[in-house]
Amino acid sequence: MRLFHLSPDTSPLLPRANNTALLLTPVSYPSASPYVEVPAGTYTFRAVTNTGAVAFSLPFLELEEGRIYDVFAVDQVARIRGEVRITDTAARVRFVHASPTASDVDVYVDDDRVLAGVQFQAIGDYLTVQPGLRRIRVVPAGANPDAVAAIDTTPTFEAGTFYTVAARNQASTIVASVFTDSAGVAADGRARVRVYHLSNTVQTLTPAGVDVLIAGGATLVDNLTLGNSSSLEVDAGTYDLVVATANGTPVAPLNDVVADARASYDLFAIDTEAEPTVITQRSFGQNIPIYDVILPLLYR
Amino acid sequence: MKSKLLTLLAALAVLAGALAGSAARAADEEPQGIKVLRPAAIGDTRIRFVHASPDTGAVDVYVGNDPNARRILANVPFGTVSDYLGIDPATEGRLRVVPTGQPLSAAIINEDRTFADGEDYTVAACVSGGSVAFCEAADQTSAPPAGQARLRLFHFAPDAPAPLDLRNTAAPDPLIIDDAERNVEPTPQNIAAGSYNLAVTNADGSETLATLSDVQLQAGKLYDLFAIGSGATFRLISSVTEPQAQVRFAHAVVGAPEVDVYVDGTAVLEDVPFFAVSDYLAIAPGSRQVSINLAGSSTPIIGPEPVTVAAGRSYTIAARHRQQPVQPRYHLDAGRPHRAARRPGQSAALPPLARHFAAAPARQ
Repeated sequence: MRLFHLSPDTSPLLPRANNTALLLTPVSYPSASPYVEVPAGTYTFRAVTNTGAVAFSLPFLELEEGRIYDVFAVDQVARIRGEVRITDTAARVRFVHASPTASDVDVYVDDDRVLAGVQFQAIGDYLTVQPGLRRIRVVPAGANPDAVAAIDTTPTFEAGTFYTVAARNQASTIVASVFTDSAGVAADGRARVRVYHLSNTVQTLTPAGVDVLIAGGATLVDNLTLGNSSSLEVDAGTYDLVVATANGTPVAPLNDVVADARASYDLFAIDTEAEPTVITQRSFGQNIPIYDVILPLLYR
Repeated sequence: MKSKLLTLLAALAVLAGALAGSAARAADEEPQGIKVLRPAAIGDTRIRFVHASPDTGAVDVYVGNDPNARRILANVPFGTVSDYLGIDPATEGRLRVVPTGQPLSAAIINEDRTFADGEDYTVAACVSGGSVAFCEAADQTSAPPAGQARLRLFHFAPDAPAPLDLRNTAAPDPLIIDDAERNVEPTPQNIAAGSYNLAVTNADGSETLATLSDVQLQAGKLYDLFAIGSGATFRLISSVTEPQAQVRFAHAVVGAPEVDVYVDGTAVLEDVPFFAVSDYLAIAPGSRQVSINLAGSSTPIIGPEPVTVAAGRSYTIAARHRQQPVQPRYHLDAGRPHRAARRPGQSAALPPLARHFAAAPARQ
C-alpha cells in the first residue's frame, strides 16, 4: 500500500497501520509515498500530521493478499478524508457447465484441479487465477486430464478482469466459450443484467439469436448470437422478463426478477436435452469493480 | 504468535526505512500543474526473475551491494516467473540469488551486471554443465505490428534436446520459432493474433516435448514461453506482458467543477468530478501531451503539458492546485476532539466544530 497526499493545506502526513509507522519520513503535499508491503490482515489505518494529530483514520481496513491499496488524502484540511482504491493483481474466472449430455466434470487450471464434480447447469463462483496464459482443461469427473480432456484451451487472462468460461454443446461436440465479463459497477440506482447465449438449439432456428424483453415493455437484448454475451443496465427494481428466440418464441418467462442496485443479474440461455431453457444467477460483491471501493469515512 | 507479529512489523520498519530516502527526493522535485506521481520505489529499470533450476529449492533474490543490498523477492520456488520489479541501475546492478533464508554469503548466483536506464530485463537461475548458472535477456518494450502478438521461446531445460523449435501443429508450414538454443537469449517472432495449437519440439520436429492447445494469442501482447526442468519436472511456463503505459487520473483540485482529460488532443475521460480516480487507461508509451479542461470546454485550464510514460509502468496523474498553498495553511492540532462518523450518503456539510476550526487564524 501507499499514501498519496493531495490535500493542499495539510501538513505532511505519516501513514500508520495499527500504530506502526509505515514510513520514516512523512509524505508532503503533493506527492505519493513509496509502496510498502504489509502482511494481509485487518488494520486501523491512520494518517498522522507533524504534531501527532490524526488527520483521518480508516478503521477495519481489510488488506487482502496480492492486492495493491492506494490511500488518497484529499480535500482541504478541515474536510480531509482518505479514499481507498484497490488494484487487483489477479484475474477472476468462473465456470459454467452448459453441456446437457456431458457428465459431471472436473476443471483444471494448468495442472491444478480447481473444481471437482461440477454438475450440469452449475454456475461457479469467481475463482482467483494468476494472469497470463492459463491452460483450462475440462474432464469427466475423476478422469486424468493428461489422458482425456474434453476441453483443452489456453486463453490469455488479464489482471483485474473477470471471465466466464462456459462448456457448451452436446458431450460429443463440447466446446468452451470464454467471455470477458462486464464487471463495472452500475450507476447509482441501477442494476446490471448480463445475458449469455449458450444454446445450440436456438442456434438452429432462423433467426438464430436470443432476445430479452421486459414483459409488455422494452427489448433489452436484441438477437444475441451463440457464444456471445451482452451486458446492460436497468433501473433497480422488480421485473417480469421474457427470454425469447429472436423469431419471437418465448423460451422462458422470468417473473419477479429482483435487480438490486450495484448487483448483477445473469441469464444463461442453455440447452437441456429436450429444449432450450434459461438459468439465472444474481451475484453481489464479486462483481464490484476493483477501482471503486470507497470505504465509509470516520473522522477522529 | 506475538513474536511472529513483531517480526513482521520489524520487517515492515526495515522496508519503510529503505524506501524513505526516495520519498524525500520525490517531494523535492515539484513541477507545477500536472504532477506525475509514480511510486519512487519503482525505478526506471526493471528486472524479473525466472527460477529455472529444477534441483534448487526456493530462493531469495537481492540487488545492490552491501550494506545496501535489498531483497526484492523472497521464497521463490522452481517454475516461477516473477513480475517486473524496479531497480536503480546505478547502484543495484549486483544480483545475488541465495537459498531461502540464507545469508548473502551463501549466494548461488552472484553477478554484477550493467543494466541500462529505462530498460527491462529477464534474469534467470538456469542450469549449465549440471550446476546453477546465470542467464539474462534484454526484454523488448516496443509493440508488435498491428494485429500481431510477439512470441519468444526461452530454452532453460538442461536435459532436453537443443535447439528447440516452436511449431503450430495445425498449419501446413508449422515452424513458428526455429532453433531456440539452450540458455541463449531468444529471438522474438511476430505472429498474427489468433488461436494456435502450439508444440515445442526438437530441431527436426520428430520429438514433441510439450503442447498447448487452443492458445489464444491477443494482438499487441508479448508472450514468452520458458521450457524448464528435466524428466518429471519438465514443463512449459509462460508470461504475458503488454507494451503499453497504464495511466489513471485523479481529480484533486479542491472546489473545482467537473473536468475532462485530454491526451494528445483526444478526450480520454469526461465529466470527472472531485474527488475521483479513474481506472487505468492503456496509453502508447512516449511523450504525451496531457491537458485538463473544464467539462465540455475546449480550452485547457491545465496544460497541455508533456508527460513521458514508459511501457509496462503504471502512473497516477493528479490534477491539483497550480499554486500552493491556495488556501491559508492550517495545521491539525493534537488533541482534536472526536467527531461523529460520516456515513456514505450523509450530507458532506461540515459539522459546527469543523467550521470553527476552518475559521480559526492560520498557524504558520
